[in-house]
Amino acid sequence: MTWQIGPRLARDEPAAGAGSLFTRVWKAKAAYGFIAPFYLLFAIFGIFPIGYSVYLAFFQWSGFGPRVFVGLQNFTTLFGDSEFITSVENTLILWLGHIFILLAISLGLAMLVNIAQLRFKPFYRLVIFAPNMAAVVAMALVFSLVFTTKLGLLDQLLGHIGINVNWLGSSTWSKPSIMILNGWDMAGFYMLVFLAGLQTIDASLYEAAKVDGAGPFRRFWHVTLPGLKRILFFAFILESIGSMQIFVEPSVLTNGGPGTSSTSVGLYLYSTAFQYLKLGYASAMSIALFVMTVVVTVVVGWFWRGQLFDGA
Amino acid sequence: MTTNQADQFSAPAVPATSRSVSVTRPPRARRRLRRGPLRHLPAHIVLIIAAVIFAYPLLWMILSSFKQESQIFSLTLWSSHPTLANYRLALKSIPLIRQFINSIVVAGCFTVGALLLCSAAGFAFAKLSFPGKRGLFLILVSTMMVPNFMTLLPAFLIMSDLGWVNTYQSVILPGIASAFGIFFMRQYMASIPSELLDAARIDGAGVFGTFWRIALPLSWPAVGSLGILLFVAQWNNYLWPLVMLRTSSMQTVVLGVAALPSSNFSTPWGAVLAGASIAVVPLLIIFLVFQKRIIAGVMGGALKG
Repeated sequence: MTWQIGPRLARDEPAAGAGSLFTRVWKAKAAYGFIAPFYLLFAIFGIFPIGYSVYLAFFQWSGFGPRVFVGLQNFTTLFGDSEFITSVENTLILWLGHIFILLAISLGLAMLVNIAQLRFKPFYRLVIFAPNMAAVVAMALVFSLVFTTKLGLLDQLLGHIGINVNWLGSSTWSKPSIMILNGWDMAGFYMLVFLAGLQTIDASLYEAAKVDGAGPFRRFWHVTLPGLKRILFFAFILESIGSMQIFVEPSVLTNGGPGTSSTSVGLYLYSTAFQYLKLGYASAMSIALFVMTVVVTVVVGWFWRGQLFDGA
Repeated sequence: MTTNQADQFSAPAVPATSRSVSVTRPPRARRRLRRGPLRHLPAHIVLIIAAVIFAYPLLWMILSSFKQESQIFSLTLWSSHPTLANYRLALKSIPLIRQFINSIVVAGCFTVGALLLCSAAGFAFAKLSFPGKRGLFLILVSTMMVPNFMTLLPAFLIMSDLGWVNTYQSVILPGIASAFGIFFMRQYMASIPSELLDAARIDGAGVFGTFWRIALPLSWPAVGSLGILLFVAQWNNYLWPLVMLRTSSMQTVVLGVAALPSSNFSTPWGAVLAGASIAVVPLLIIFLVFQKRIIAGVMGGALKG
């Protein structure tokens, strides 16, 4: 990671290498003043809570009374807890079940609203991005009406072609319902992300490819995709990290049900901590969720480098 | 990947945020044979279908909130007998007006605080040199990886020790330290010509004066974009306020609406739609008014990531 050193501002500030460390730090005190609030708040509400979390994970505590040291018992319980295992599976299914379709649709929409001289482009962008502005909670409530069996909007539409789905009431369709809401909410966001990427691709590359006789599909494969690989990676990582922490959609739409068919790790963690008041156990779970996020990020990065683009 | 890529893009991408989004008009479409309204017909068809899919739930929510309870499940948007009964029921079930004010206070204070903090820190990282800058910036970027859930429970315990549970500051303060915001402002401020800052310095302005009088006003487009994005994010924020704000008179609109289904014996769906509209429509208005700034902010943020 290279990092451009900004030009020095005050004439009396010495060059980065001059004087003892103390003098240099003292001379730059104004700069530290500018960044101090962030690190102060982060120390209080970031680093300290993380440490506290790790500490609590070794105890049994309900928020009141004495904390009982239990060693690694919270972690061993976690791996034998079938509801936790199910929630991990659900989270992974919710993630892999929607991310490829979501990003493909977003990329397709981005390419459409990037067509030069297409009319009404600003209108399309506006409408498709609008759901992302709306509170997910509010829209999850609206979608619980959309998904209502028979009476719901979706079933009324699908009923015309003879399909009736028990969206929120069956363990088969509870997860797809969540994915549909999630995709509806995020597609416009990733459309704009990809649009930003598309606009950085040099148009002359397309001209050159055309001159070389490349058709639309080859141009997409050899110009568009390589030009977007960084931003595709960014989008994939961003959506993956977000998916690991999915909470609002299952919480409002299905409350994890029916049964535990749509319980995500976040939802289980929340109820463990704030409904069942198993604070130590919830802390252990939050560490597991963090590890899960890191592992997913690393695996995605590894796949991305190895499989899709050589040395990207 | 982040910094390298961001530096590479910062020069062309950042000035573009202040302009219209649709600036690129490459000449390649000129060669199209077909002209007139039917050009790109397939693209229009796909996009119109997409627009209907994305707009319909929003429109249906708003318009159905004026329907009578018995008509709510109909697909039609217009009601034959529009009524405000749903809004009356929603206002009766939860303190919506108070919650609306709560949302404005929480999101407003959060936005102002975060903008001050992020632009100051962004300025320091873009234009000042100091020992440890690189390491501190790496720490900052890595904080973006920490999941919300990791700090939620301990932060709640800290808040209860401070006696801050169910207060505005418990929701406002933790989020103000936004690493994304600092990153965003740093990228923009890096594009400000250093000569301007040097000129201010020669005129006798201190570091703070240079920031407050030169760098901040010049970064107004970025401040605007980031401010709207932060306001929207905080207005819609659910998990953190859900944990911190315990009584309905302190909760934000979004929390209030989420509590509506359980506020009556059987879920008053009309009132839920009315409440959801109250939570969503203000942001849609903000979006319509500031659409260019918002779209530019999202696109700029993407390139900076």
